[in-house]
Amino acid sequence: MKKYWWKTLSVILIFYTLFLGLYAPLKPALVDENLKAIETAHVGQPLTLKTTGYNTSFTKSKNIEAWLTIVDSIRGKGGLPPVYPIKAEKIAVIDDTHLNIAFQLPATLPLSKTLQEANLVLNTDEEGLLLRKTIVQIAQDSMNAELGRTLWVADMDIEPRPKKFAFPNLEFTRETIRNTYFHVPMWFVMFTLYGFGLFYSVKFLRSKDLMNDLRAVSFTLTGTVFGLLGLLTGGTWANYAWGEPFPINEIKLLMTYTALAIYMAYFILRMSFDDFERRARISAVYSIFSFASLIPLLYVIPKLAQSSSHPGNGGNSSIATQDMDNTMRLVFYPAIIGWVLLGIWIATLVVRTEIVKEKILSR
Amino acid sequence: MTYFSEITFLFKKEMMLEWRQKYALGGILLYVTSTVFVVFLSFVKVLPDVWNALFWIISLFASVNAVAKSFVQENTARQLYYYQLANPTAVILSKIFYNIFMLLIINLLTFGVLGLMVGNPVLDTPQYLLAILLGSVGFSITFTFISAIAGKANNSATLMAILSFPVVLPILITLIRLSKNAIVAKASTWASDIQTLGAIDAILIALCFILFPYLWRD
Repeated sequence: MKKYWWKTLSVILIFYTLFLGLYAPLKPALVDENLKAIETAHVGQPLTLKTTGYNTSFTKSKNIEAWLTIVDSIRGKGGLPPVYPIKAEKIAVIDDTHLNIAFQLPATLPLSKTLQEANLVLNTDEEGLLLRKTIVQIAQDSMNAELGRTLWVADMDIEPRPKKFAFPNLEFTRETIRNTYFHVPMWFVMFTLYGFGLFYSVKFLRSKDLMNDLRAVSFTLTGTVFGLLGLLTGGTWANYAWGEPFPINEIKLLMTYTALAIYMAYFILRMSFDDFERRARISAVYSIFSFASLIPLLYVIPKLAQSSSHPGNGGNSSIATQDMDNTMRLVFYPAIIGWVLLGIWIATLVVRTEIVKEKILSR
Repeated sequence: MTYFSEITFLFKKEMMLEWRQKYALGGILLYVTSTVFVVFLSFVKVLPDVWNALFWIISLFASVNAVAKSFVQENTARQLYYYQLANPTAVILSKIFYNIFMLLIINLLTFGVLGLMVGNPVLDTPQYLLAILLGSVGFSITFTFISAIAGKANNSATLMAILSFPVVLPILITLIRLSKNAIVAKASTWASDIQTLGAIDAILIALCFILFPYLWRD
């Protein structure tokens, strides 16, 4: 039993991932319910904003404060752009996720522009700070920034947000952010298994032991299955986050197709031999040769490529900068370890069934 | 004989064989000119991007056809005879060098004929010629080694295409980026592309050297 601790670990980690990754809520946020065009309001007039929240509980909050803020595009003192807020006149709570917020817009804007975008800042007892960028556009006919700056003044004292275990609620991902724990580990598994396959191919060429060839092909096969799963989970995710399942100009996708094509070719090459030793030797040579062309393919070219919707590409560094926070890492890293161990486990099972098959055939 | 003189001798042998059996080279040249003629007939005006794509498609298929025969035209017994006379790695290196030379001629010819018949949109010609040179080197290494692998299998003609296209794709993607830069004469990223191509070529030729001893023995 002691020998199989890693199998137990993989099961525990995958259950942990499934439970926490799917069960933990997203952080509350203000959302755009029906993706309509931005409204335009005029200075000096009342403005009512219908606001929708996600995972919010407005009825529980005793105090709700709201501000409309204008952020200058020029940086002021201390490197930060100056912010000009006005406070809401009246806030009507409709239900847990809907608010009607009434503002009286001042007679002029604090900036010398005829059209300016404004953000909504909410402060509630339950959720703390909530922000919705570019909720409304404000138009004015004559400009008087000096006067505007004296009118757009309000106290903004925002209490620290109560700490709860929740995942980031980003505009383009929302609930689909949970796919990080399933889509990304598939690639880690694929690469680990291809790595093992390569290792056993090299080992076969050095030892001429057909057992190593059997291991190489089993690990490569399992790796390809995980690659297809990665493609499938990625396609499902992309359908919601980017609007189409397999965007043609996505360089990582192109690279994945190529990688899978190489290993499909590997299996076709194996089929064209009758002699075991010859098949093992020549397919090992091909897998080593093609793996070498895969390395620049998967790591160098995506970094050089200009356009990629994946985080960490197109000039950025690696994963986990602004897209991932510590709550996500708490699930993401165990998920990778769990899935990789599961992949190795499945591959070893494939090896064992192959051995049984050989035994039955040679009886 | 030293290693180097073995390579030069085998290189001359390849050239002589090619010259005696002119049908292979003639066939490739006819393939290039007739494809270009089809392009000429079917397009009124070719946009620069399309021109680039057409060039690499013609070049890719001409290259595969030209290199595929490397390890197929001579029978297995004669190949074994070569491996006894010379170092086996010298045999594959001489074939790679010979194929670089031949692909360079084929690609330059494609470039010339396509430019003559359809028009040449390339602004930075030296950079495009550099892409052709690096492309010929990369194609030659990959296709020669894959033809050595495919030559061992039963139906090698079909396998050659299946095995080589996925492996050559990273080279092709980088080449297309580099040559696109040459067409619009933008000098921004070509240094990194050349580095990538050089690195891929170096890795692949090193692997040819390491893996070929495992491949030729039967």
